[in-house]
Formats: sequence, C-alpha cells, structure tokens
Amino acid sequence: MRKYGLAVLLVMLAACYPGDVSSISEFDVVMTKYASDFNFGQVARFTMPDTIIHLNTDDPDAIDIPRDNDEETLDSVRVQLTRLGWTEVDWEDAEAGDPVDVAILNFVTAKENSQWWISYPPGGCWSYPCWGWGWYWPPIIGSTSYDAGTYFMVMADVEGIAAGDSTAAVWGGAINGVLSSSSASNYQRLLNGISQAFTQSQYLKGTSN
Amino acid sequence: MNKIVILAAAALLLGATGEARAQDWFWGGAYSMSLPTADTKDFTEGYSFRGVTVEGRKLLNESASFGLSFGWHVLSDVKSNATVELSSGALTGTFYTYTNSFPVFVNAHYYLGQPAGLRPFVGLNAGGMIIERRAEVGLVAFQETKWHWSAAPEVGIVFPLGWYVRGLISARYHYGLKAGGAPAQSYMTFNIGVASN
Repeated sequence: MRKYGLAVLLVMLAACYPGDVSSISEFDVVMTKYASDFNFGQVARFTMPDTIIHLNTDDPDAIDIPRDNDEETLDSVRVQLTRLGWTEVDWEDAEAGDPVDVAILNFVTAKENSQWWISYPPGGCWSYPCWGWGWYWPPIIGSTSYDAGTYFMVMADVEGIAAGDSTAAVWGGAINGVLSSSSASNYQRLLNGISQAFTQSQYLKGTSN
Repeated sequence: MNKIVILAAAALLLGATGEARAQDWFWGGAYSMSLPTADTKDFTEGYSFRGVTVEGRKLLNESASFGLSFGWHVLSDVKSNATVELSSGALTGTFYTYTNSFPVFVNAHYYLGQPAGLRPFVGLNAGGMIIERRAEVGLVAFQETKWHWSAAPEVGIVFPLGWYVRGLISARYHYGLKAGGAPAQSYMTFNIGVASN
C-alpha cells in the first residue's frame, strides 16, 4: 500500500511538470557571430545582390520556398544596413569596380523534418532485435514531423577576397524557426528575426567589438 | 488546486505507513516547495511548487535520531526573447530551463520538547544530489547530469495529529559542491508533511 501512495505522489508531480509551448514563435532563434579582429568602424559602403539564394534545393525533403516576399525581405536587410550609416553601392557597379567595403549575401533553406520512435511498455522487449517472450507486448509507435527554415545573412570583407575563400566572412546572422501554415506569420517572424539580428550586433556601428 | 491534491496524496502515503509500526522508526513524506539561490537561481529563477521529500528516521533515544532522506525537487524557468552572449556573438530565443534535483541523504536530528508534544528539531543531512540541468532553445536542447556532494542543514517542528500520525514542517538549505564543469548548486526547501511510526 505504501508504494502505491508514493507512486500516486510521483505521478502527480510529473503531471505538473512545466514546459508547454504556447506559440510556434517560441521556437524562433536568432544567432549572430562576428570576426573579432575585423574593424567594423571602417565600413562605409556595402553592396548586396537582389537575390536570395535557396540552399539545398536538391534535398528530397526540401520545401519549395515562394519568392513572393523576397524583395521586401531584402529591403528589410537593406534598411538595417543603412541605419548603420553605410551607403549601398549597386551590385553591378561594384562588379564594375566601384569600391565597397563589404558584401552581404542572403540565403534561405527549409525542409521537412520527420522523427519516429518505438518504445515498449514495461515487461516488454527493450532492445532490437526483439527475441523471446518480449515480442508478445505490442510496441508504442509515435511519429512527428515539422517544417523548419533558416535564413542566413553573411557579410564578407571584399578586400583581397578570392574564390573559395571561407575566411572572408566577418559577420553572420541566422534566423531559425518552425514554419507554420501561415506564410504571413512566417514572413513577419522572419522580419522580426532580421531586426533582432542587428539589434544584438551593435558592434556593427563600429563603436566597440 | 494541485497543491491540495499533492497534500492529500502525502497524507495517503503516510496513512499507508501504518502497517509498519516499529516504535523507533518514523516514516514520513512531505510536499516540498523550493527557492533557488546563487547559480541555481541564475539558471532557474523563481519559487517552485513542485517537489516531494520522503524520509525515514530511527530514534536513538527521546531526543536524537538518524535516518535517510530522498527527494525530487523541480525548478524551472522560461525566459522569453532572452539574449545570451556567446564568444564573438549572441543567441536570442525563448529559453526553457529546468533543474531536477534528487537528493540522497543520511541525516541526524536533535529534538527538543516532550515525545508526546510539540517537538522543534534541528538536523543535518549529508550525502549527494543528482542534479540534472536542461536548457531548451529553439529546436535544440542541452543537458547535463552531475552528482554533487552535498549537505543540507535543517530546522523544523513535529507536532501530534492523533493516533500514530504527526505533522511535520521544516525548512532545509541544500548546498551541493561544484561537480565537473557544473557550478555549485543551492536552494531552500520548505516542507509540509506527515510522519508516522
């Protein structure tokens, strides 16, 4: 009888374990990194191609991302950069030799993620392959899937850049989250993430790293 | 409401202990509320209403006992849109953090007053706490579980409720030493329960 009392207590304790997610936006993450040896105070001119590059399009689980909001998305990045006091140089002019300090490239990727698991109730088989008496116990099979996407902004130091040079990146921002069925919601969360990436990167103003 | 149900379950648990009435052993269970301090508070801030403590004490004489104590104390926190500084960067998101502490103690207590009356007591628990710390942000989670050598001084009072059942109210300060890369852990618990011999 004593053990049943204890079991009741523990089950009730577990039942009120916290952690319920109330909004899909709670999965959103914004991460930024920068090169600590780069002087952002010397940056005055930037260039940015008018294209968001879609990554991993050959992945069978990749999600086809509509380009309806590409222009507005790039504009939101552009606004953040000009707020730093930087001047934009047209991409074609930069390619023609108009000097710039940094180039900003934008990427996006999204895919469906699926997970599944099998577990056995107590008294069943706990390992695979499952031999012996345990197979009488039916397993519990669960699965879940979700669409997740990531938007990348990469800032490269164009001085002395060479093809295949992976060290040219001086700043990067990534906005990652679970995609909802509402493209308007996804888009708004992306804009919020872009804004947050610059908010948490005050060193881009060149005041301090 | 949950608190009432848990208290009722604690009473059920202790009611069930009546089958073993050796006069020199007391068995008890308590609903435990926790208040984190220091590094534990930094990780999981806020008062917790989730916890349980179970213990047995063997009376050596009318004023002293030694025994065992086990517990499960849950601390948790949610930090929305929090920004954490990284090496050359930053991370922003909603952070869910959890501290699950499982104290495993031997203890000794000294009682004042008369056996049939109110009995204030002081005690010292020693042993370890298995502490699992978990942080979730976005779609990833970080978790570590460590054994922290620990001590927990305690004060409280035992009072008669009738038959073989006594009420128990106590406060206990848990302190666990650093373990590996995990910082020292500390928190108070306030315990309300019943005991029976």
